[in-house]
Amino acid sequence: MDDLQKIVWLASYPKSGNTWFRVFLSNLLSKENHPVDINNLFISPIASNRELFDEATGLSSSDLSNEEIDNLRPGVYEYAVRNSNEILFQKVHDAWLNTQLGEPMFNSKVTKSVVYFIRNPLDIAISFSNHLSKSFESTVKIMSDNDYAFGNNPNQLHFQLRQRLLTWSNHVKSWVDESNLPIMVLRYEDMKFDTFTVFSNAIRFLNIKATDDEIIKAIGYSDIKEMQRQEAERGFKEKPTNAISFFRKGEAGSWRKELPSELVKKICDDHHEIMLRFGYIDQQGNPL
Amino acid sequence: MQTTRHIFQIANDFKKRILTFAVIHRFLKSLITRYTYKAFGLIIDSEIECPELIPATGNPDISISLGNIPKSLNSPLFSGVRFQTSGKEFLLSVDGIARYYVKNGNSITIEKAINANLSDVRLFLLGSAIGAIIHQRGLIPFHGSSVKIGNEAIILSGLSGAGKSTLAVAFKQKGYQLLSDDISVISFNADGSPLTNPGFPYMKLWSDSILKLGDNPSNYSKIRGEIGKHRFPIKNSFWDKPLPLGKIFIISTSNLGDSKIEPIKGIEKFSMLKTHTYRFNFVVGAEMQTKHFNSFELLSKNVAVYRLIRPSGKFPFDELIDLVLGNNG
Repeated sequence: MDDLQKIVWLASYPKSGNTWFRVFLSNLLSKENHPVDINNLFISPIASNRELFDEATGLSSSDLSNEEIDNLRPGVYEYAVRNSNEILFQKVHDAWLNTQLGEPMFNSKVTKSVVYFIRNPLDIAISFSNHLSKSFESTVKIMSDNDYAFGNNPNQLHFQLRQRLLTWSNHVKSWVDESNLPIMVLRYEDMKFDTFTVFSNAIRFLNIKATDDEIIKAIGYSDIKEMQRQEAERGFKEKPTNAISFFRKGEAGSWRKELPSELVKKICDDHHEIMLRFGYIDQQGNPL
Repeated sequence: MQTTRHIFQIANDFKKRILTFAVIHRFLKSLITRYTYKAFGLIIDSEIECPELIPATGNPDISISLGNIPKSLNSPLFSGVRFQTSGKEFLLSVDGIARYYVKNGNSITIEKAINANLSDVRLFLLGSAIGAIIHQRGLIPFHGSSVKIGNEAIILSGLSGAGKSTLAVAFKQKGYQLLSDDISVISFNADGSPLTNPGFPYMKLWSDSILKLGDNPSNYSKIRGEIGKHRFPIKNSFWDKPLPLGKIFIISTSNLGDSKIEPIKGIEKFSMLKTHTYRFNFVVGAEMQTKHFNSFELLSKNVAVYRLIRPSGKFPFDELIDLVLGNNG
């Protein structure tokens, strides 16, 4: 194994359980006897962090176009691994894509493995709509828009670099089918249903040594109620400005009560292939 | 007939000579014309014209030239994605624009890419390349904009997007003068007290900041291509002499409630000063690092540092200015 292969990408479309897992992992690695501060997670910053880019390149990303930035990003992650003695857990919402120069943005040279989080897009629609402060209808449109990106308004400086998400389906395919990186896919619904088994498997996949008790403790510290408690008390810095809260309900299946039937149908039609493949609809296209 | 033709001949010859002379003159002028400016507390002698900078006279501290430069450094102590540094030598490469070779704290040589336009070349010259030479000279290029308040300067710093430039312009609109945008060069008096040195009378502002300030972005040219950031002149509000550095404010955003200010002390103060130094990773090698460490100690001893928190997604200018001025409530 090449010793540059140090990054574990914690990759997902937004609102798919990525932060929950990061809080769990931070608690597991911290080995403290109290929950870690959600505003000070033991995990390196998101891959689209602007400060990391500027430091690594010696350039101001704010003087570069999005394409110029993307072309340099593979080098930024190489810089990060060259300057680290440890495994880097890196959250990422970008789809897995090539730069304009034809180089994978997240390439095998620096990658140890990928944990990819997938969640029923019907539930994502509810949670993402809260996150974006947009209607269900606009959110569902965004999930089918292959040009959608975070940080894409050219008239202002975003705290993070532009992140192209593609459609929900293409996001999944980009990481799971096209990246050719060692990957473990975690379904949010499985994480909810049998947290211990799923998280234990993930920890084994990541080659992290931990006892069952340590895993159970870290799961307890990363319970949605604990995260909500901390957010209510001290806020959460990753919450978008206009959203009421980041840690909303953390439920599976709340779309049944909240999402209008025509939008349920649109999501099931637009994302038929991937929803069928990951067990979110049946052969006839009916949600499960 | 003969005479007329002769006269034409003479006239033609004369025209040719003038043209030749003009060509030679232009060529010679290009050889000898250098531009002298002052910025960042330095006299700069430059082969390329920099309309951003203030013309000056005097013995140059640094020179800027065009020419061929090494492809890479022989023994770099540290390398980034597009730079290498060995302390005394520094090499930066901006794809499709130029490569910059910064040496001994007194020279910058630029190898321009074939189709690059000069304003792009100057953008990175007056950014990272200047940052490198300031580090080589043992001064501190602090990442922030400075404002004259009374007989002192303050620096508004923070991460990209925190609103350093925007808050500085808000001060300007209240009638305050500005010393620099983005990079504020800190030097020290013999007694160890820090000084802020003026940069140049232009800022870089995003369209939405210009709008927030009640102005129209289309009044200002864009810094580069389609990037929505504009060249914003501050000639009429520019303070061009060094001033004692009073306070540094690190702007940050929070999605919890109102604007507030709190002092940063002790070990965190030292580390914040380091974090917000422009291109701190250009500082390499024992000699350079020791020098910087001593400067940070002096700075830490002699300035007050505050965290200035604004609500994310909002920019309550008056509130923030009041907090900076210390007359809140």
